[in-house]
Amino acid sequence: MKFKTSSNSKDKTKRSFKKKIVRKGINEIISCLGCQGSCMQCPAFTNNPNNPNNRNNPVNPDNPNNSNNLDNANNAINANNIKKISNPVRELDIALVGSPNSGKTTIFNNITGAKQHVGNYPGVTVEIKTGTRKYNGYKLNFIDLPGTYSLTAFSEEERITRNFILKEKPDIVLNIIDASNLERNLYLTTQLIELNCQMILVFNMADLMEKSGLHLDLELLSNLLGASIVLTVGSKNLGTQNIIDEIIKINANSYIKKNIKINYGDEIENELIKITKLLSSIINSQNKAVSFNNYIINYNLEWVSLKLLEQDNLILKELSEVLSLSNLNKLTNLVDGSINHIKKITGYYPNTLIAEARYGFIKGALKESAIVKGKNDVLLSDKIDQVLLNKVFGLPIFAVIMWLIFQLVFKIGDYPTRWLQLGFNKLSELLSVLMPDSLLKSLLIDGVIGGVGGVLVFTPKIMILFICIAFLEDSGYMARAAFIMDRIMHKIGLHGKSFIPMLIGFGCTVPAYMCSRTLENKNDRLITLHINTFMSCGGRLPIYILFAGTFFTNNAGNVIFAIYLIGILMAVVFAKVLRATRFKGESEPFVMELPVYRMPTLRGILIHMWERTWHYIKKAGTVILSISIIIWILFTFPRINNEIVKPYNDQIVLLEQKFSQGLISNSELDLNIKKIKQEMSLKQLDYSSAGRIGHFIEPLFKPLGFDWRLALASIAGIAGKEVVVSTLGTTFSISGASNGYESLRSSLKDAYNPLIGFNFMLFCLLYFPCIAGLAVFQREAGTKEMIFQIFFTITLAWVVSLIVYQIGKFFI
Amino acid sequence: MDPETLKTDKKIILLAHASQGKKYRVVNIAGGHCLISRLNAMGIVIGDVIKVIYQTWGGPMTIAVKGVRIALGRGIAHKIEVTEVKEGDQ
Repeated sequence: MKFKTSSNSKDKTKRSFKKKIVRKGINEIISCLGCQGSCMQCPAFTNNPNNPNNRNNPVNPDNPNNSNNLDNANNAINANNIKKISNPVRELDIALVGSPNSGKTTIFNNITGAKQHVGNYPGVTVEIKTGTRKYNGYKLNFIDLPGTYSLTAFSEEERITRNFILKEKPDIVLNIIDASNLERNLYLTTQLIELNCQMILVFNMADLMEKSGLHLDLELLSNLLGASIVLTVGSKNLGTQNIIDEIIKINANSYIKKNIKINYGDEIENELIKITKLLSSIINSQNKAVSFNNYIINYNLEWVSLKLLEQDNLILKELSEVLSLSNLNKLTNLVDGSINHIKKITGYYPNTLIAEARYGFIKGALKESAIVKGKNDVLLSDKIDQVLLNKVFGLPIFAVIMWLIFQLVFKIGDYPTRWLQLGFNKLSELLSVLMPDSLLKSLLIDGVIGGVGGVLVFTPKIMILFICIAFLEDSGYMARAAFIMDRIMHKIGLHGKSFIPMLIGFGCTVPAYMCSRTLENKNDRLITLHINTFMSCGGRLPIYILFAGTFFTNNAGNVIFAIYLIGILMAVVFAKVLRATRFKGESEPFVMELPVYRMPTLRGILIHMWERTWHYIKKAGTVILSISIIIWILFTFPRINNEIVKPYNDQIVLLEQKFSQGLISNSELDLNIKKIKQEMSLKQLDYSSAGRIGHFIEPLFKPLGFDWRLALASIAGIAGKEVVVSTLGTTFSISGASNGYESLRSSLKDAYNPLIGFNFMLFCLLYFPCIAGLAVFQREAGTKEMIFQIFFTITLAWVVSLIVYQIGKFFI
Repeated sequence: MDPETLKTDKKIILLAHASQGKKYRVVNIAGGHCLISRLNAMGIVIGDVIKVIYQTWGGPMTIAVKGVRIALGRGIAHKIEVTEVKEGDQ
C-alpha cells in the first residue's frame, strides 16, 4: 500500500510521470516502447529496491504473514466493512488487464463513465485509455491496457501491457476474466501471479457462467489464486460498485498479498534455482561497480529467470543493456544449457512445460473449487458458423452484408441528410435577407455555411455507417470476416487478420492504422498500413455521395459500392506488388480467436457510434471550419479593382436604361443582370489567390479532366477528405453559381460530365486520406515509410485517373 | 505426460489433414518458440485434445480447445502434428 501524500521523492517523480502519460497519452507510451527498456536513465523508471513501500522487491517466498493473508482473502469476497477514510485524498493507479473479448473495455466504461469503444474482436484497445473516478476520499486512476492473451511480449499489445506493469507498477491490477471461459482466460492470470501483482480478479459475464451451470466455491478459488474475486456482468452494469469497494478495501485494510507459487515441475524448478542464483550473484558483483536502477534488475529475479527459460527475447534484450558482456555470456550459456538439459530429459522445450504447468495449475484450482461442473455450450455459435464460414456461401454472405450496409446508409440516411440540407439552406436564405451585403455576410454564407454545413449534412449517413461497423465488431462477425477473407488474403501474401484494420478503415483510417498493430510481423504490418489507404474512409464518403448522387442519380448506391470495390481491388494488387518488391518474406501464421456470437448491446453500439461521430462533428467544427475560412479568404482576396468592375456595372446601367425605356421586359432584365453578375463573380474568382493557385496547378490536372476548381479541391483535400466537398461548396457558392447543397449539385452537373465525376471520386479514393492519418502513419511506420506513402499514393492516383480519363474520353 | 506414449501406437498426421468433427491430440508443434508461446497463450499446448470444428480444405480451419474456438491458417495447421483420439479414449 502506498500513500500518495507521502513525501517520498521517488514516488513523486513516478507520479509526475504518470500524469504526463495521462496527458500525452499514446505518444508517450509509444516513445517508451521504442526504447524498450533502454530508458532506464529516465527518472520515472527509477525505483529503489530498499524502499519499504515497494512491494515488488525480490520476493520473499515464505511470507510469515501467510495465515493472516488467508483471512484477508476470505474477507475479500463477502465482507463489506469498508473503513471510512478521513485522510487527505489518496491516489491509486489501477490497470485493467485482460484477454481480448473479456469485456475489459465495458468494465472500464462502467467504472469511469468514459465514452470508449468496446469491440468483440481481438485488438480493439490499441492505445492506452485512462479514466478517473473519485470515491470516498480516493482518486482512482483507471488505465485500460490493450487486450492480450499472455505477457510473453511477442506483439505490440503484449509489450505495452507487460511494460506498463513492470515499469509503472500500478497499485492494483484489475484482471478482467471472461467467466464463461475460465480455463483459457486464467492463463493470463497465472502470468500476473508470476509477476506478483496486487490483483483483483473480475469474473465478468458471470451470468453466462451461471447459465452454463458452473458453480464455484469462490472463496476457495480466491485463496488458491491469491487474489480476491468480484463477479460482474459488464453488459448490464452489474457488480461495478463491488469492484470499487474491493479496491478501497484492499487499500484500507493494509491487505498483504498472499504469494502464490506455481509449480513448474522438478526439471524446470531445478534449472530456475540455478539461473536465479547466477543472476543474483552477477547483479551483486556488478552492483558494486555500476549503480544501475533498471526495472528488470529490481524485479523479482525468479520471474526474470522464468522468462529466460521461456526464451523471451525481450527480457534478454533488456538484460543485455545492463549486464556486462562477459556476465551476459555467462548467463546465456547457463540458460542454453538448461534449455537443452530440459529438452533432453523431458523431450520438450521449457516453454511447453511451463505452459502446461500453468494450465495444470488452473485446471487444479478450478477442479478443487468447482461445486457443480458447468457445460460450455457454444453449439449455437458453431451452427451459425457452419453457414457464415461456409466455403461456398461465406464469401457471398459477407458481400451481401456489405452491400446491405451501403444500401442502408444511402436509402435510410438520405432522409435526415435532406432535412439538414433544408435547414442549412433556410439558414443562409435568412442570413442573406437579414444582413446587408458585406464581407462578413459572404464569410458566413459562403465560407462557414457553404463549407462546414456542406460537411455536416453527411453526419446522419456517417452515423449509420458507424452503427453498422460497430454492430459487426460487437456481434463477433468481424473475426469471421477475417476468417472468410483469409483464403483471399493468403493469395496476396497476407492473412485474414490484416483484413480487420482494412474493415475498420471503412470507418476511419486513423484507428485502422492503429489497429494494424495486432499484426506481429513487421512486413505484414507495413503492407497492411500502406494498402489501408485504399479502404474508403468516412471522410471520403461525402465526396462519393455528392458526385455519385449528382452524376449517377438512380445508381448512386451501386456506383459508390463499385468505388469501394475498386479500393479493395487496389489494396489487393498493391499488397501483392509490395510483397514482391519492398517487403519480401513469409507472412506470420494466422491464429485468431473466434469469439462466441453475442447480441451487441444497444448501449455499446451507441457509445461506439457516438464516439466516432462526435470525432467527425468536432473535426467539422475545428479543422474544417478553419480550413473553410482560409479557403474563403483565398477565394475572396485580392478583390478585383474598379477598372475591371466598371464595364460590368456600365452594362447593368445600360440594361436598366433599356428597361426604363420599355425596350426589354422585366424577366429579360433579370436574366441578363444575373448573367453579368455571374461573369463578374467568375472574374473575381480568377483574380483571387485561390483562382491563381488553381490556374497555376491546372495543367497538372488537365490530363485527368479536372479543371482548376477540382484541382484546388483535391489539394485542399490533403487536410482531410471532408474538405474537398466544403471547398467545392465555397467555390461554387462564391462564383454565385450555387447556393446550398442542391444547387451545388446542379452546378456540378452543368460544369462536368459523369466521366469526370467518376474520375474525381477515383482520384480521391487513391491518394492518402488526411494529415491526421499521415501523422499516425508516421508514428506506426516511421518517417521513411510515410514519405513513401505520400509519393506512392499521389502518383498512383494521378496515373490511374489519367488512364481512366484518356480511355474513357473515347466512349463519351 | 510421457512424450513417448504420445508418439507411439497411433498414426501422426498434420492438423491440416484432419477431418471435421473428429478429436485429436496435439503431439508436436513444429515451430519456433515464438509460435509455440503464441499457441500456448491461445490455449493450444502439446498434449491437449482439440476438436476440428470446421475444415475448409485449402483455406483456414477452426478448432475447439479449452472451450474456445480458434481460427488457424493453413500454414500453421501444417505445423501442428496430431493423432486421432476416439471417443472415450481420453
